[in-house]
Amino acid sequence: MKGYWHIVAFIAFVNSVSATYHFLFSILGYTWLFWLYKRRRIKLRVCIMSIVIGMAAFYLIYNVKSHAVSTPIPKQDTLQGKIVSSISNNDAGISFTLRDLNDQLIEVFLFERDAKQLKEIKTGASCTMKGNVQEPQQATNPGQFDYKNYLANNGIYWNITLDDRDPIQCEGESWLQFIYSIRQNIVVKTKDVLSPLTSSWLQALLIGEKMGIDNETEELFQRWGLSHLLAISGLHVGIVIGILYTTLVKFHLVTKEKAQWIIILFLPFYAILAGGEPSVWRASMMTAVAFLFLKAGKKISLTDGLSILFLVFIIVSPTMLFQIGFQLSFIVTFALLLSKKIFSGPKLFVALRISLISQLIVLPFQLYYFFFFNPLSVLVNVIFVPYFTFLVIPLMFLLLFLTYTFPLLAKLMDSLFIPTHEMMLRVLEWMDQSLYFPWVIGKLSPILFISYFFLFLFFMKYLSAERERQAFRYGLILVCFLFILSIKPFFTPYSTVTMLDVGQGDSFVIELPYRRGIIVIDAAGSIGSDFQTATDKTYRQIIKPFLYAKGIRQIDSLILSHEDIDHVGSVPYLLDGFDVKQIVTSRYFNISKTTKKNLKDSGVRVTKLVEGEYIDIKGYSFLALSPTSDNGTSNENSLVLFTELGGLRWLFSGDIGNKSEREMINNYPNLKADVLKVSHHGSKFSTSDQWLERLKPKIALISVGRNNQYGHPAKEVVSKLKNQGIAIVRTDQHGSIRYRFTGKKGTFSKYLP
Amino acid sequence: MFCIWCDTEIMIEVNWNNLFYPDHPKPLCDQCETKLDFLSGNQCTLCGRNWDFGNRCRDCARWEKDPEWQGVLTFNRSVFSYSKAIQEMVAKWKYRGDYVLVESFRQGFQAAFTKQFSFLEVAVIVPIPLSLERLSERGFNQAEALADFLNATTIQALTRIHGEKQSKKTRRERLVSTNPFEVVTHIKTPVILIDDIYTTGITIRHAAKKLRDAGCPEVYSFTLIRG
Repeated sequence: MKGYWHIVAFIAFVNSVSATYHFLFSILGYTWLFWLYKRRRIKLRVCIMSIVIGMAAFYLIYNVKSHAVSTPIPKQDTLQGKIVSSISNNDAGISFTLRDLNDQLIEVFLFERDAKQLKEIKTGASCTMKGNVQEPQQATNPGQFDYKNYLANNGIYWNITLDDRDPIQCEGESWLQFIYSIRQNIVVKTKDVLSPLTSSWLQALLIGEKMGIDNETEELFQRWGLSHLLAISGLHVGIVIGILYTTLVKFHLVTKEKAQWIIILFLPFYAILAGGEPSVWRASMMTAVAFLFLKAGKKISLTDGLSILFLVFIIVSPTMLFQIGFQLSFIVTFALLLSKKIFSGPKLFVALRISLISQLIVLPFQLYYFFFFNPLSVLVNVIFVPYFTFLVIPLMFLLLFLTYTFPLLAKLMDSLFIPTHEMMLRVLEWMDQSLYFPWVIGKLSPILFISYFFLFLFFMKYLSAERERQAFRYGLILVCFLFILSIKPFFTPYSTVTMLDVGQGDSFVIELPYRRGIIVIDAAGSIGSDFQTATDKTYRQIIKPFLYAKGIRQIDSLILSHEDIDHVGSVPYLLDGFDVKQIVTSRYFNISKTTKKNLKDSGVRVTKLVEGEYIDIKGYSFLALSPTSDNGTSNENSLVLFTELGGLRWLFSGDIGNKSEREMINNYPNLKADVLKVSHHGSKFSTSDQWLERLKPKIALISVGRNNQYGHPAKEVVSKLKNQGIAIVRTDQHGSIRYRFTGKKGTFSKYLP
Repeated sequence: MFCIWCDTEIMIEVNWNNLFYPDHPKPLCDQCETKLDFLSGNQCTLCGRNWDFGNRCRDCARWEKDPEWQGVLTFNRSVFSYSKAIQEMVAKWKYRGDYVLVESFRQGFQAAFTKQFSFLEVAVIVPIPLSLERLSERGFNQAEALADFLNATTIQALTRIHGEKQSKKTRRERLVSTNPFEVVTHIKTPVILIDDIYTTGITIRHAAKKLRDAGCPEVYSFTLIRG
């Protein structure tokens, strides 16, 4: 079996994929296995082992997946259960996983509450709470992160959100609690002794507590492919264990034998202490297994060790397979182990190769989850990985030790570390501002996902065989592959109009054929906790992922109906993150002086329209029907646009009220529309009978938030539309809605069935 | 897997090349493998030994001068050059009956055969036989064991009359000894003789001569070692 475990692991993996997507994967896997056996490349026992474990993996994953379908809704109104996860804190509150009396897992989220109550919430505690158990929110837009799916991948099918009035009572704790309290102690103690900057990095890098690292830094690291430094992985575990082992042995604290045992026992403890993420478990268990074999005097190849660990993971916790952290952690480690041969020569050269191979192997995952990659991240890794490996992580370990023993010395070193680290972060920020060129490719289909790996396999095969010419050829094909992916839209004759589900707000994206242009009508923002300013939530979670998933980086025209947050709140972020060529508004749209200056500086053209004027965007004209004059309120000043797309007449009406409708009825006696964007999310002060009679629309689009506090859309409006036999599509019920067309023909489709 | 020569464990290293198509299990560890010297560089066109001074080595020139032996053997090719390590291995294999050691030569033997003799469209493999006495003493014929590796028609076309071991004789004694072979099957196509070692070339030539006399158009030889 030795040296062949990767085959068993691969068959198990293929079977898991098969249980999730299509049985064809299993057939291909087994065909490959039998072919190897027939060619006498593997022994019968490898075959049998692969089949047995493969079938077990299939069964386990299939079970999880079918469980998801058949889980009944827990109907009780008081919820009782045990906390089975660690307690994670973030800005808004705390969350944990509860196992209820029926053995169902439920994700619990608590808004901020007083410290006394928080103290009782511990892993292993039995809790009673009152609240409304719900199905988790699923994605309703292409490209959007699917929270429901994410929880399901962890075996959780329900969630409950408790605000500060909902009662919760907890008592008891698990035997693991002592580890969590050590963790808590470290957090408190380092915060106390060290500067906020240093303590937050110490907590993130040594015990996986990322609370202190702000979102901007985390996103900065993500943009530059450095997230792996922030998540505790083999690198961190390796350094911590290396320092610990060397200290124990070099200072003759214990014998080598004992030191090895200490390490082996310390590793699972450390995995829990460091937050228990899959990457932490993988790295600690891998190290523990290596130490165990070292003790037994047996040799084991690292690929075997990793493969066996992979098998143990998917058998113990099959849902882990769907977690991005697990996927990346295993694939990168495996790829690096396979490439051992080519890691020789000058150090810088090796560092570059390691960085390049890691980036290339995670690229399909990166594109699958985030739709873009940053080509320069390879170089940044070459700088930052050694910086963290040789300086930051060892120093943090030392600082942790000193915090508890010589706090004064810790403070001194802290003051030396701050300027260094600030400088490094500033370098990264500077690069982010001047050298950030993300290559937005769009969502990768499964076929392309697999094809990429085949190309990469051949590339690496020739590279490690030192057949440079062949390797170069495959490298070139790989680059062309990515290039073709990113220019694919330029060869697509289809256009789309998408009404995004942005909750209570409006956002439309129009993609012209052959990528001639991208038009965005309104960019809703989410309203912050002060009910005044917009946050980037809608932009970050919905608009940006949608555009990236479509491979869009440039917006030719950004049309803004009026200046309310639910229509323009994401505009600043959009201007920052995308290449916006032109902004189109009504003449009465208020743009502040600073915004005006910013727009001018960044070269964005501003076009203002009034009633009767039209704008031509790449051969598609948009006629302004309103406003004729300043109507006083932002809603009534909404820019109303008429256009023809895919054989249909469209009317985008912003948030106009009855007044503007009446004006248009008078001004345009022959006005007709096939598709009407119902004004103001279906408010009862818009969409009059006369308006509908004049337009005679066939389809009414309503962009409206789920259970919104305004009661939109108004019952009257809905029944009016129904009575006139107009088909209604609503974002709160159907998610995003897309009209896809070529020439004069097209079809509507809803994201949610 | 353990090295069949030194018995240390062989670690299979999975890399990008063998990830989806494992290599054949290796019989020798990397260290023992490097002890085997593949013949390479300038070689004598006739007997295949390393020779830097022209087409033919001095021995072969002598053979070809003698009208009795001229052109009897078209050419010989071997896989390994003679070294202490391979001598030990062959001794253990051949004389002390460690039959499985032959596996260490399989890969090299097959590869070299394809390289050297694939130009022959029709050829029959004839292993150099042992006398019945020697065979019963050793239990197997080393030439046959090697011939078994090759994917070609093998015919036991010769028999051997018992005599003293070649390895116990001096060069002069070997050269004047009587031909110990007899043809039992007449072959009309080119023949490739297989043996473990080519030292003076007399054994191969004795066998070749008998085959040629019985009507064989051309005789080549392929041995594991060029002594």
